[in-house]
Amino acid sequence: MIPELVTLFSTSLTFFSIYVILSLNLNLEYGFTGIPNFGKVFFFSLGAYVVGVFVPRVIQFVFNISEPACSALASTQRMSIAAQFPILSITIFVVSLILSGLLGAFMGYVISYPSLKLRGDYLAISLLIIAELSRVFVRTEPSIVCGNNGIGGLPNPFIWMQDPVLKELSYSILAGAIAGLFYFYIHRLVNSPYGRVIKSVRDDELVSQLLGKDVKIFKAQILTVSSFMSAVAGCLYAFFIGFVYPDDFIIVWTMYAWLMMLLGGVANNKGIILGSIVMVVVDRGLRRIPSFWLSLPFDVSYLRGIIFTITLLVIIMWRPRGLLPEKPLDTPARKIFEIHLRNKNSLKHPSS
Amino acid sequence: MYVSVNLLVVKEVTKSFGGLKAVNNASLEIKEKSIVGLIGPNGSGKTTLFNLISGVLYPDRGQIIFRGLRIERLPPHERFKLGICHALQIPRVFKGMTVLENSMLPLKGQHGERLFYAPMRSRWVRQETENAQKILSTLEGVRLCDFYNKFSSELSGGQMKLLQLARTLSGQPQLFLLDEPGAGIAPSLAKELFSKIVTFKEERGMSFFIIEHRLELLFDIVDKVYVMNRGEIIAEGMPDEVINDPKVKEAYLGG
Repeated sequence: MIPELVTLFSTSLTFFSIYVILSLNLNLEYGFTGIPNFGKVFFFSLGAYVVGVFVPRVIQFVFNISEPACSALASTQRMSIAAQFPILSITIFVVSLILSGLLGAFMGYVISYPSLKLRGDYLAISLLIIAELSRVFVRTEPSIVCGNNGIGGLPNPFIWMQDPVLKELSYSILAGAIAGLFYFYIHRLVNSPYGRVIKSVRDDELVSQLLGKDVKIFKAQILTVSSFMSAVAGCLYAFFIGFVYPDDFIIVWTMYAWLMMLLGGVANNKGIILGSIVMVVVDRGLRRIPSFWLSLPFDVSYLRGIIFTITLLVIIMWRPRGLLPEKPLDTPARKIFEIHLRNKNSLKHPSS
Repeated sequence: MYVSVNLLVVKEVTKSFGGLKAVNNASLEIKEKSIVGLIGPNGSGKTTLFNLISGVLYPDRGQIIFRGLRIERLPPHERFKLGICHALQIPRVFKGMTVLENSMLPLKGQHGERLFYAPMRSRWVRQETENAQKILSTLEGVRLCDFYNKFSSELSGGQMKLLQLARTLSGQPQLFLLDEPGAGIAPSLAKELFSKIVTFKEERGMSFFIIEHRLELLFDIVDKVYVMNRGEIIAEGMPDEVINDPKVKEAYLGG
């Protein structure tokens, strides 16, 4: 019973971390800067593809495995090698984390160019198409991640721990720590003069320019930073599943990120946490309910989709800015004004 | 002897939208430390001319020279850095930002606006505190201090106008383009505002270029007036001269 609960906890924590990273980034892009990124899954998948390309090749190269990387035999060989060399598996993990982040950042920067020319809906649609196109491309091109079959044998960095429960728990804590780090970074980033600028870009691009802000640079920076983090989330996902399969990266990931952001609160990072918790509870919870409990006329996995769609519709109709409202930025300037007003009021009413 | 130099020179600038010449061969000069008015009937191209100067639009032909530098191809944010601020006719405040955030935004040289410094509070906290002190008096001046923590979407139309003014002022411009500052503001406050403009000119050495339909307010403070009609500048000079010009009478005052 206890190992089962621990596994449930670690799976939930890992998915929670991945969801938090994704929706935090989307919030940074859409909530704070006003870039409607409907291609979130593209940047997410980049991280996973990096793992799928990099990890097998490195292990095969170092240990001179002649089997083709896609074969099942090579995949089991990789896993058993990684289990013997803890330092190697951790190093590979760290390096792929960095590589995927860098690739994500690079692509984010590249994508920022068309996004400066396109506005609103057009940008959203083109990003959507980029995400779908890249998936179809990777699926049909066998040299990347073995095409339609996907590639397995991607060792978890903690595979050398003999106990699988402990392995998953360690991994989930690591993922949680990374998500926490990103949360802290974004929190600090937006509660600053920089946050003021990106919010002004969101609210009125032209006026922001008239007040001396180079809108292009700020948009490019935001896309670069958030794509970095999204790709890292993709990397975490790939190592957790231990398998990279192009058809995993369908539009649903983007929609999940949007749902979490819209549910929790646009431009409110605490809302993102709330949205992600709801998401994980519903998502993981429904997976554990056997179909016969509910006696549904269809598979229980469809229920998730139905619930999410209805939630999304309800939010968009009644609370389009989410459950938690946007808050004023927390910068030291506010304190100055607070003190000033308090002094002024105490002069007016000396008795109180 | 002090020779006052031209801050802004507009030379034969033309801008058309399709077949309509919104600004046609317009030339004008604004001297340092001066207040210049721009009047004319609706649709005569005043706002378009302002947009050409601030960079919202680019001219088809002609030159715009600011402090000896040709700026007609520069993007708006570069022109802002040189010292041109434009307060739009219809107030466009950042609605998802508080009054305080709105007015802190245009301050120049903020360290915390750089991606790498922004998460490091210690790098910009002192500058931010100093900036807030500066903004305090500006917001007091337009009576918005009490609302500093309110989202600017909650303000009234007139307050938005004042916020826009305060915000643009905090950018410390050399040349301040004001598009109908008196419209939509209570008469007493409008008067105060115009007298403030004179104070700013004297104290900070700023120049103002003002579009205004309330001539009684405008003519008290201006050094020079330009009159536009159908995209062309039809008259210039002291308020008294301009108002007696037969062309102006016909175009603007209705004969």
